[in-house]
Amino acid sequence: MSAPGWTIDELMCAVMARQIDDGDVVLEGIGTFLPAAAYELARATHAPRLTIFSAITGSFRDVALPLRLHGNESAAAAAATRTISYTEMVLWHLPAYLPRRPERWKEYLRPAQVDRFGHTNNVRIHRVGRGPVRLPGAVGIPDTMALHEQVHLYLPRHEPRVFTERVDVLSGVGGDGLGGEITRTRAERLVTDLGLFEFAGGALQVVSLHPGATLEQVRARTPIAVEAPDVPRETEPPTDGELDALRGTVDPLGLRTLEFLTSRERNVAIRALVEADAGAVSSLGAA
Amino acid sequence: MASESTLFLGGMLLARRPVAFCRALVLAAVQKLTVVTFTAGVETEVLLDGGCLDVVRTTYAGLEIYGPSLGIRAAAEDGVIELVDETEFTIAAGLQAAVLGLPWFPSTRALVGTDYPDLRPDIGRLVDPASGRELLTLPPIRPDVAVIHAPWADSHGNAILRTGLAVDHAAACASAVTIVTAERVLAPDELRALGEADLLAFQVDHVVEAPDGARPTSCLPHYEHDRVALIDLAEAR
Repeated sequence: MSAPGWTIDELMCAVMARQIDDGDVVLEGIGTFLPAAAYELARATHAPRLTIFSAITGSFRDVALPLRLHGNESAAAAAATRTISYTEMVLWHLPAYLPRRPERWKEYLRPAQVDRFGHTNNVRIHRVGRGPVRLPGAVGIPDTMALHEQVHLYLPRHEPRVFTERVDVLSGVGGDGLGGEITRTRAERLVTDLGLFEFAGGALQVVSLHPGATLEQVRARTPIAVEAPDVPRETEPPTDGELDALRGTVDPLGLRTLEFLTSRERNVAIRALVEADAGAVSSLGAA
Repeated sequence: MASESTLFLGGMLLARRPVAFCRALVLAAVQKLTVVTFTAGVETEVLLDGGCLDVVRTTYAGLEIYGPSLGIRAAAEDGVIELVDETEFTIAAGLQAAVLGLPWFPSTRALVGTDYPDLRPDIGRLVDPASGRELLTLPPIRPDVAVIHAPWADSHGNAILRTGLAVDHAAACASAVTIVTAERVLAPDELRALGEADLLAFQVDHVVEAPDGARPTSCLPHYEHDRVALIDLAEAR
């Protein structure tokens, strides 16, 4: 098969950007370059009125900001419409606006573990014959995942170990959410390097497969129930407009690809980027 | 600082972490601390490696893109420290409950439906008699000492934080003692010329000048975080 004019990270970024609507408020996570690129790509292509919340500075911004390593914190601070404390975010904005309909607040979450109900786990994983493995922690996911009308998950690598019948620790409420006081028709979607999926009916439903990915691959890498139409749709590849924006102004350094690497690979890549970046930046005199 | 105290460490992720203060605590051989911090990283690892810690209460232990906090992870898995899983809400609400003198802070949404009430014996369940609805009770967080690193402060204790505010204002209100370590301590009119303060003199009990006090984390506008140093730290584990 001839090589497409795009890479899988570019495709996933475009898919993630397309799920963002103009006027949304989107939340960046901790070191999550792929969603960060998707948000700016959305802004560049169809969502000029996007508000992005940057975790590193704790600030909302309404203007475009290319992804960068050197100077990223200063740049996010300089672009801020407002810098807030997390007290303000957690006790005011999130409770007030995240559940408000129509849905306007979105975030991309990367689960360490997800089960067939769409519940997620970022606390610890039980290994057979060993003690539990600690994960970095669930941060704000336990507070808000139940409240989204649309839950958006992503996995750079569609790996079997992520999918489980029942999560070891339920730190993110998926599926139907709470019910009761907050009624909703929930949608929980997952973007991986194989396709776009939705959690429904206790199974992973195939919405579309990326060009080159097969249902057999999905079933081989998903140890929970997978349901698909006989002929699944193919994900629409990134358009020329999306690629031009992504490569030109949104993420010219390709920082989104760091999320596809293992820890060790990532540190090697960052070292190389820092060395290249320092040379480029010193000539610009930026800080 | 007394051993066995509860110490709040300000900033979050790789911004304005009180690393120099933590190094000083290690030299002072303070022990059996309970650390409360929005996220735990370099500064907490300094205390961990210095043998100062019993308990870490945090929402996240890691170094962002530079990797997980392998030291904290290993210490928690081996039972050397107790790692208490907080969330953004439990920390923000816990500090607020302490400020208001409440026995607990209620939640009708945050954490409901999760396993946190099972993970956390100090999180309770109550039924609201009026509505019959179940709510969770989150414990107050009342640090003995809060340490916050600032780009500037003045000799009275007014301090500018600028960005990465995290929950520092709330911690200053909730803690018995607040210490600000500042890149530079200025005269009051010099500080005022830079802009309005984030922490006020009546909130701050002690100010000390600590240039480079957040390194290798950032202290804008003086310096960004040191990427190479953080990679070195991560790879050394």
